[in-house]
Amino acid sequence: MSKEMPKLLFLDDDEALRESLVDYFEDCGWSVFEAGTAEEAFKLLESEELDCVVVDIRLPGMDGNAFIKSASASYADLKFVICTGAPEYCLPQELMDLPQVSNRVFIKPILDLSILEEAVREQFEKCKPQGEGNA
Amino acid sequence: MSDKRIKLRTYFYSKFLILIVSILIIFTTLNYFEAKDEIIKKNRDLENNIEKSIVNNIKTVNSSYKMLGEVFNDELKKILYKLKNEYKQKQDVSKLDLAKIKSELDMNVDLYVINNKGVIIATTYPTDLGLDLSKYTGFFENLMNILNRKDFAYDALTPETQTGKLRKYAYLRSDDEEYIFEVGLQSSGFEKYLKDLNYFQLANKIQRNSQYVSDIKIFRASNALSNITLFGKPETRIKEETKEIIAEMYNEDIKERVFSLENYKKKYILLKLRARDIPSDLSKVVEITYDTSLMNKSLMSNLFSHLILSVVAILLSISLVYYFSKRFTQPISQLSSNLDKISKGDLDFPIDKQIKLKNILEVNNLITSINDMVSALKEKISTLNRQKINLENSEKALRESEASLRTVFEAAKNVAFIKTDCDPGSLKILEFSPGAEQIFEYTREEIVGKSVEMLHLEEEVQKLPEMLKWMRENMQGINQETTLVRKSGETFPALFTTHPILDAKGEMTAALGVSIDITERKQSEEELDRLRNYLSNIIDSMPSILVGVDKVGKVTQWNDEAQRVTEISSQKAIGQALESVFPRLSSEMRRLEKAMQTQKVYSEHRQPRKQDDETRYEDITVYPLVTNGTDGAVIRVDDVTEQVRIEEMMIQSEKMLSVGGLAAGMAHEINNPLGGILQTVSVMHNRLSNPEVAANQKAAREAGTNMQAIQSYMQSRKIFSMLERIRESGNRAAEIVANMLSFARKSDSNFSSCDLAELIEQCLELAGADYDLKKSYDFRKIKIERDYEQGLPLVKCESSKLQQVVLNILRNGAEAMHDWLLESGEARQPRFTFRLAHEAEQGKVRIEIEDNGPGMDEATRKRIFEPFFTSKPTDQGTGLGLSVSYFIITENHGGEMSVESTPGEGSKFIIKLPAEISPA
Repeated sequence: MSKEMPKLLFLDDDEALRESLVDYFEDCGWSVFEAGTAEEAFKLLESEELDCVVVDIRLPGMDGNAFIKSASASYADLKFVICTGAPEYCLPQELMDLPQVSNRVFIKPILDLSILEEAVREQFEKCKPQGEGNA
Repeated sequence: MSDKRIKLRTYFYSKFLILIVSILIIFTTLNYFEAKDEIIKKNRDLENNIEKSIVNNIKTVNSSYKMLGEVFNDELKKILYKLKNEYKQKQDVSKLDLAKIKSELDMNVDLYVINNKGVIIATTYPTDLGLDLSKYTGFFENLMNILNRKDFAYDALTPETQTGKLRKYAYLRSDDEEYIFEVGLQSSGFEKYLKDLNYFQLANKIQRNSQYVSDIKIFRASNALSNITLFGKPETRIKEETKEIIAEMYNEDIKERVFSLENYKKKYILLKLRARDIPSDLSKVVEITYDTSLMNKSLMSNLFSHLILSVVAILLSISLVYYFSKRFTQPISQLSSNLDKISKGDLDFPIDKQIKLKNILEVNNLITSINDMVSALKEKISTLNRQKINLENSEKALRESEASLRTVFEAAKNVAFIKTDCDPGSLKILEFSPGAEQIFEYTREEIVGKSVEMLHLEEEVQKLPEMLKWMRENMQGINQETTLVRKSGETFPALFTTHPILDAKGEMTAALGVSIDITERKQSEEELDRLRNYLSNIIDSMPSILVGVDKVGKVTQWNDEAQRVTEISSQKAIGQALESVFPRLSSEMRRLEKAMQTQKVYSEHRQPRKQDDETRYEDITVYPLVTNGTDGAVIRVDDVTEQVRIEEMMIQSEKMLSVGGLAAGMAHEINNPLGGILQTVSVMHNRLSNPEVAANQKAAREAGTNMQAIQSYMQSRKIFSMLERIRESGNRAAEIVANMLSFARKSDSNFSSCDLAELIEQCLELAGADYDLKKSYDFRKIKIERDYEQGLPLVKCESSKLQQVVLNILRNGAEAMHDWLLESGEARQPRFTFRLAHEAEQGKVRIEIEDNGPGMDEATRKRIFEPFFTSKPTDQGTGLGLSVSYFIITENHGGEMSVESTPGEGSKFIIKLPAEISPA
């Protein structure tokens, strides 16, 4: 953690829920950004060098799946963790195949937010050797 | 013989035809001749007119000439006197210079001197000199007359035959009577006055005016053939025969001569014009040639037209006569043919049938008389017949009845007629019919004369004398069913009738026994009974209540089920009013009537009925009976309670499914705010309690306090436990949502092969971990028994779901056992028994989880899988656990789940899951 803290983006249209996540991760020392729609998220991706996005699936406009597909194509190092309110949600195969997308799908409400944080970290760990190898 | 007979019509026809044709022929012939005569007469009239006009014309011309001649008389007188005086002076004829005289006269005259012998001795006309006139007899006579006269003699003015010029002669004798002087004055100037007064011109005119006349010739007539000349054409040579005819006519004074030839007719008419005082003979013969061809032609056409007319008339009369003869004879012939029919015996045949001209008096009279005759005949015949019938009737009736009796006796093959004597001792058979032969199998020969007893059973034989006695006393027969015996000894049921045979005095002389074999009838009766039983058995074995009623509602059929339900026997029920024996169907009476009226089936489904505090359901159907003559209906009542219950359950599960669908839709919406609550609570707790977070410390410092102080405040004000309560409540809400969602879960994406024994071990581990903390009982104290079959096949399942099911059962069971043991104080080691078995036939693996807890009563057992059904206090469970489990097994895994329980001994959950293909 000697380096600059990684930048996290929380993409969720429910403000209360999004705030709770932002607050939690902020407290944990992450650098956090937030967006209500996929379109806002793209704007932030342009201006900030973000490292990971916690994505809700059901969104107004472009949905979470489409956002991940599109963003992963443009930003190869960007990681994704899915956090959805729809219990019946299944990770589509094409997203499952992407290494930058976490296999762990979180269903809201997340009773223990530390598990989510753990998953985010795990994703950073998973991607690190690749990133360093390349660098 | 009959060939010579001819039909009336033919007779009339021939007679009429002969009569009419002969009349026609006569009439036509007469008419023809009349017409012919007419034509001929007309011609004759025409001829007469022509002839008359010719003669008149000639006469007129002659008179004209005569009158004209008078003019010349003085001139001629002067010349003659001059000649006479000259001769007187000279007294010698030869000295007379005739030429000189002629020249002095300056006239066209010729002078002649004729001697007394009639010879011309001197003349100025040299051609005639020396002509002896005595050969013209008539003329000569006249000359001689002139010699005897002193006076002049004038001849008539005549045209010359040769030239046609007019010449007049005059004569005068010499005084010595020796000579006659003759002067011929020829006038050339008169012709213009006499233009039309010319014989042949006249003749030509007549000829031109009449087609009938083809030629007219005028001859000078004379007895001398040579003197006969033709006027107008003197040079024409006249045929000798014509001359002879003319001469003959002249000589013999024949007025007319007619010569008819083929196409013409010649008529000669003599005109004797000789005058005494005139020397010239002016007689003429006129020859008229008529063209008869025209007349012949008209005669021919007359003949022809008459022939045609008569032929047409004959043909017409033939057809007319044919028609009328037919018409007039038809009624007669029809009458005769009708009469023929009547004469052949059909007295009722209408005589006036097809007869025309009925109104004609004679025909009418004939019809009337024939009718009278026929009716008289009929009456006579009927009288005769009646007498004859009366005469024959008795005898015939006797014969007939005997014959018909005989026929019956012979023909009734299925009926045995047996005549016996009436001696009670013997009862000998006198007569044995063919029917009897057939039935009893004896022949007539072998049985006649024997006793009738051999045809009866022994016990019946004893009754026979008594029967005979009764018959004799009552003069009546006996009719009964009995059993008779065949030759073979076989017995058979029979209809047996006896009849006394009486003589003329009314004494019974014999008995007649009539037997009919009724074996078949008996059999069919039995068959009918059997069928009836069979049908009533069918009806009785029906699980439905079947009640038949007639049209006034009286019971006619009452099956076993009806007996069972109403506890009224069918004997009691039949004939009773439906309301009295089956009161709860009284409400159906109206429908019953309607069904019978309309002949339609009426049914009422799911009629609820209270029975022993339980609602039962019935289907009631009313069938009208459509068999002819048996008005009525059948009521069928079926208890469909079970069916209704099952259906209700099915409806309920449907309902649950739709609740699941609703829940799935709601889940997302609920999860988001729940996340907001729970996650924020978590952040709040962290910010209030965690001193390691730099931001927390910083904020506390800035507020003039530290984290320890805040924590102790929160603790003392129980803020943390409040936050915990919020968190717990949120958790429960989240759990409910999650459970509800499993109703709708269909996804099978997480299915994998799984070893059930292993899965159970995981569950036991989880159960131990999960419940240790929360509950005051220790799961590890529960004894676990395992009874696993070897070589179990794997099961395709979603292991987490299956875990959820097993855990659910374990938790429920553990709680129940713990609570029950606490309450009852029973010293029993709580225990779970797990059994795994392969049901190879069904292709399923069976899981049994049995506890030794309190078990459950029947009502609970039935409802255990219903959603929101719970036996726990309301704060301890949602009541969804087992119903979710049920859905997971049945819906998600295609398995079965059930429970068995004995209260006080424990419960056993049985789960069956489809097995994978078993491992080798």
